[in-house]
Amino acid sequence: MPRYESDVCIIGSGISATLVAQVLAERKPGLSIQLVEAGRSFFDQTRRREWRQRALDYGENPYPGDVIEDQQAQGIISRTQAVGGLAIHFGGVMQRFSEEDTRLESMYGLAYDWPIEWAELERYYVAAEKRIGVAGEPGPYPEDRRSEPYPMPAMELTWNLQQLKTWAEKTGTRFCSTPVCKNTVPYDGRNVCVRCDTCNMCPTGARYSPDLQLRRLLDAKKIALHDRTLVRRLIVDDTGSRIVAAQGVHEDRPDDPAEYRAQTFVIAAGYAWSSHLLLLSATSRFPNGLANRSGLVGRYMGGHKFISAILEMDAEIYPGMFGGHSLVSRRFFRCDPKGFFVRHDFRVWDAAHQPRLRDENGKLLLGDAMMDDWRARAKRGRARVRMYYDVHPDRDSRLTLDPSRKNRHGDPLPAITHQLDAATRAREDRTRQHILGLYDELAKHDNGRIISTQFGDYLDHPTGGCRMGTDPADSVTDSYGRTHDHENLWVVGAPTLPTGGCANGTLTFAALTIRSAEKM
Amino acid sequence: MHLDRRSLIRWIASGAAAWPLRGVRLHAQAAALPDAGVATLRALAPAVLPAELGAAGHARVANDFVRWLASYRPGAERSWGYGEPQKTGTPAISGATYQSQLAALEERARARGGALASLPVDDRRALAAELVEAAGIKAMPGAPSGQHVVTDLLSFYFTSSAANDLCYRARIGRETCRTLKGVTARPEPLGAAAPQPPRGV
Repeated sequence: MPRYESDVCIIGSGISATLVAQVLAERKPGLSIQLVEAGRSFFDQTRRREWRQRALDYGENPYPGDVIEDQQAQGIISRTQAVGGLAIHFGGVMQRFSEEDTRLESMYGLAYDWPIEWAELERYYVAAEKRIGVAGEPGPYPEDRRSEPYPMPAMELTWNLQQLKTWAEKTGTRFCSTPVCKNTVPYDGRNVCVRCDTCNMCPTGARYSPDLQLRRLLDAKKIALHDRTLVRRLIVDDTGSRIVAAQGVHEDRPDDPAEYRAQTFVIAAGYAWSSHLLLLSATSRFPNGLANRSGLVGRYMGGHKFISAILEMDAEIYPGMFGGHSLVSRRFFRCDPKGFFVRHDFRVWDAAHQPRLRDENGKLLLGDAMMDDWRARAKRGRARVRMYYDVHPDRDSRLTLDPSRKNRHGDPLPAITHQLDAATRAREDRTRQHILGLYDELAKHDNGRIISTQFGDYLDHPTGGCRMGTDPADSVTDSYGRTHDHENLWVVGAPTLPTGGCANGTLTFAALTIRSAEKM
Repeated sequence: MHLDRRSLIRWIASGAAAWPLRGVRLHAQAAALPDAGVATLRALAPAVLPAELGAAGHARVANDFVRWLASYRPGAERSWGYGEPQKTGTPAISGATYQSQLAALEERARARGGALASLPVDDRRALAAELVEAAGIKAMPGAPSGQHVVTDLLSFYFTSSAANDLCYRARIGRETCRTLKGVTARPEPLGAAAPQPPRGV
């Protein structure tokens, strides 16, 4: 059996894994760090352009082979398993949560307080924004005060977004440029964004991507990377208090498992595979899996719900200028503790009219008829709006091992069933009314009209499974992600969040992870 | 068309139903259009594309479509999104299928007195409409789907950045990598410049 020794073994290679590796390599030069990743690497920046073009022209996967076909979770999950994780093709939105997210129980009597003070988390937001490279502007609401400015100036609003801002602010809600990890000036060796408008497959590296950061660490020989290697088990020592090894298997050598031994183990495998690995590592001594004295591994799986709409209004909009950029308002991150609880963000993008084959009467449109029809409709502006709203997971919102579905190694695969707590379910109708009321309010201005409304049927930016807390009886890790049960085992990123907030989670995962890495 | 991770999927999904990757031979099927069909395709283009493209523009779109088809890979791994763990392949678009549909168009043209290219553009359009109606196609696919060459040619052009520019008569340049400079201003008018290629072919 091949055996690899290091000081730190990181399982996973997404944004959280990358940040742990970076911080440790900087703070403790000489530390040996290895990352073990189930998926493959995509370090070829040249081919990235080619893949983008084929995705545009033919709908092909811009990251071909970023999936392990027999390693899938049942339930909503991003299937990406590749070096860099999901953040190799995320949109790059870098929103903060707000203080309310960390104090839901004490402020509103809901859910669970995070074991970290906002002032401290805010400092780590600053650190994450600097490390990742975030472009943004101060928000118009004083509650969004920052201890330091964004490291890059905000992405300027396109012509389209300027028109839509004027329209949307007639409702009394104020908007700003959405903070993003796309370069508006040269930053950290990355190019300035050239608005290719395919941010999920950025061909220039202007958008932060963990794999490019890992490549730097590899080139500098700061880390070792074992890709295409699935970690199947963590092994505990005789006392049960420490992890001594991770056992994995390389895709090309299924009959020759490898062992990764280290002083410190960091699970950075995302919200699904982190809990999955802990549950898979059950032994006779730990029949419910590792780090699971509380019985909460795989529980409180969360995220946020969302409602989207397409609206039309009298505005001169040219879809395609830079549709990836948007407006955001954080006005509704706060709500009166004495009033009805509803928290959400508010995003606005430009949207396009689409050419169509038949008119509303079913008449076939060919040639000039199709273009004339499209052009006539396109005289009106369109916007896509969406609100992520705060919902709270029930204890039985779970990831479990599904014995009926196994991978090639015979390991049961995860099944995820989201369930919201009773308070969330009780306020759902009123929450929807509130959000739809805001869309109605938008439609009152500039001859507006709601074209369609969509209710999300899954929880976005999923979190949970190893929630952090101060009490080992009701949490899996402490506030730094160190498991209560095993002194050298850490979980970082999305799994540790007790609740999923009402904004994209990546920056919060990053901030908490940097804090964890500094503690290691 | 902005392509974030979700809209990309919607765009792709609107083009054709997902094809399970298993059972589709990866890249094995030649998608090229036989020569016999190319002339018919060129005769079809002026009938279904906007007249303002002009003869040169129509020829260019037809030629680009032929090139696009030649590089098409049936069964290639498609892009995907949240909640879509099923690996799927691009649909089985076939030059042979297109050829048979174009041959049917020529056959109808001959019934009207000659080759498709010899008929007035309005007559060609009427014949194309007959085929679309006969195929029962209700909507234009968001990307060529292999169902019918007429609607796939429409989709190829009308979902392109060039068509978007023409619709708005502005130099928007969707999906074109360009600087951030000028992003705050209204796009320049399209002017009288030659049409741009529909896609990066």
